[in-house]
Amino acid sequence: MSVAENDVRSQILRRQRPEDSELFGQYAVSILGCGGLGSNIALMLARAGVGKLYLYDFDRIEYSNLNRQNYTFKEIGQLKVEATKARLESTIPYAKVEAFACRVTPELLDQEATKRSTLFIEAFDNQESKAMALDYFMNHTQYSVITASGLSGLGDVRNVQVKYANNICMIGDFASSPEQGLYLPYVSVIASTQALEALKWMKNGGTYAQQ
Amino acid sequence: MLTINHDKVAYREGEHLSQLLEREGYDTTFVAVTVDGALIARKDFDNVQVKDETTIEVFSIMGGG
Repeated sequence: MSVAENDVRSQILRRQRPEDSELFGQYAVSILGCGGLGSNIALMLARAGVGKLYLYDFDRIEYSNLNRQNYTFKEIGQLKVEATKARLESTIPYAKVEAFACRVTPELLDQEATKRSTLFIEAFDNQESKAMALDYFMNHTQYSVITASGLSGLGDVRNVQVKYANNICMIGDFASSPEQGLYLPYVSVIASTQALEALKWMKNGGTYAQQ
Repeated sequence: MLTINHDKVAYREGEHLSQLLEREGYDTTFVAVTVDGALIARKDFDNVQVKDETTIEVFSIMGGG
């Protein structure tokens, strides 16, 4: 990072504790899915000064995304990972972001994604992908994953649980389903909680503080 | 007696985790399960025999994101 970049970074992060910002800058995080969860989590982690972000999503932006995902009307039709990368880079000039427009499979995790970071955020929309990620990381305990399940409707934050089990942190109400509708205020509670757990994982040296 | 998500459930001798989950109405494809605090991989649901007095937590995997 150049002197000028370093100066901008320290000014942007002036309201964080310098030792936290320094630490966050040393970590890379992979975000699996760039929808209601991932597009918002990516911006939160970039703002906090996380060193490198890897974004994975095969999908393009459509109208029905705009009620909760961090995209604009002008971006309809663009790849989500490209639009998120552009948003992060225009918001935080020193953000290091790589975008992968592809479907996340166990093979992709094996051959590529797990070479880039040890912390993963599961931010998929569909149930099958969420189950795939849980199955994968239960069998690959050298990596950590923060998952989300149950974030639909106009939920009650008192029902949100944060469950730690080995290398896995599961967040959500584990009951609400998309038939109840998806609304940004509740989706973002879960997205924020995932981002919060990611920062705490870093602060705790790459492991969950509570087990 | 077993405990599942804070509810008491009758113990059945010789029952496997997958049988217990089905008896309780869970879709075993979309759950994450801990048995006495330890996370159990889905491929082991048929192998884990549930002992009496076990505490089980079931987290349903829900779509939406």
